[in-house]
Amino acid sequence: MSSREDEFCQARIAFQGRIVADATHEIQNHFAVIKEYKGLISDLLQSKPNDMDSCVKRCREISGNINERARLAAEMVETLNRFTHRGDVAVSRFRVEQVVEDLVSLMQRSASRKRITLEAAHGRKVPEVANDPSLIQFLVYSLIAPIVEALPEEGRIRLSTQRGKGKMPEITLASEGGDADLVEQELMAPELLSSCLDRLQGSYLVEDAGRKRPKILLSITSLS
Amino acid sequence: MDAIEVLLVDDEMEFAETLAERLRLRSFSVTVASRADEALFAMDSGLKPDVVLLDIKMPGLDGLDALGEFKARDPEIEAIMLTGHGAAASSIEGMKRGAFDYLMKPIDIAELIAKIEQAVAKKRGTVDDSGRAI
Repeated sequence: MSSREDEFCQARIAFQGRIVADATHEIQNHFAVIKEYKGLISDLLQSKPNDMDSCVKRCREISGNINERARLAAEMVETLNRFTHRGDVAVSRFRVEQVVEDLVSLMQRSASRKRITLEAAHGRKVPEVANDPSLIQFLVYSLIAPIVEALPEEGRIRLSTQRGKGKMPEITLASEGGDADLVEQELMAPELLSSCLDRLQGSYLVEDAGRKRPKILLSITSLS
Repeated sequence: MDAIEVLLVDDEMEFAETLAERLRLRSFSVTVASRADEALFAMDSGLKPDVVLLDIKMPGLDGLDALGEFKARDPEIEAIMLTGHGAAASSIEGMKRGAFDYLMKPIDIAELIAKIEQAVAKKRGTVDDSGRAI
């Protein structure tokens, strides 16, 4: 394996590790909150309250919160499970919106820790594509992660998917906040970027259009 | 004895508020902050906690850096670091920087209370550094 190939594999393994670490941390947080709620119900019942009605009301509220946390934990597990299975085969048919949506969910923790809003919006009739969804997630992550690091608090990153030229899907990455001069430093390593695009047979365009921060446009093709 | 004053700093607000409610049911006085700078502002505004419970991973100033700021404002304050699984190295670093102890999340309430009481006993001078009563 060439050293470039080696670095590429290393970067993908590191990406998967960071995503899994963040997601499991998030799941653990949900469990920690559920455990505290469960403890609080025991505390309230053991405190022999004078007003049993308000105690029951509070316990019902807590029970609702537990359900919501359990739902969020289950949702995160499901997203993580899909993420880990994306690389099962080299090429599969998938919806780009789902791949982007999953990645946004999995990166939410690292973005919110920096008070960055990370959001996704999807156009209508974005076509399905046959390609490597795991590699697309790696590419998008590698473009977003340095921007998350570089943006100041209250910055915003928006990913949108749309039907592009030739009816193939496109992913647009736009960010707001901070200094536009940072953009050049924020882009992923050029060798890594070209390795991804070669494999995906995709293309990449930085649109300036007089914006403070340019937009990045990724076009995805179907592999035969 | 005065109620023990606890300052709980954690960006996971549901966790922090629930833990605070449990401590209040046990007669602790608890102030919750979602960020270190918010907690430091509360101290600058006159809050005098006996113990600060400090999450290590937080947005803005993280728990380790915040520890120095708390100690600079009140050298007597005792800190207990709260951390998720897999961050033991950061907790040990916290101890090196003067934290009283650390606990892994999810937290055992009885263990937390024991550590808070030990920390307060040390702060109030009723035990020595090894935890023996004096």
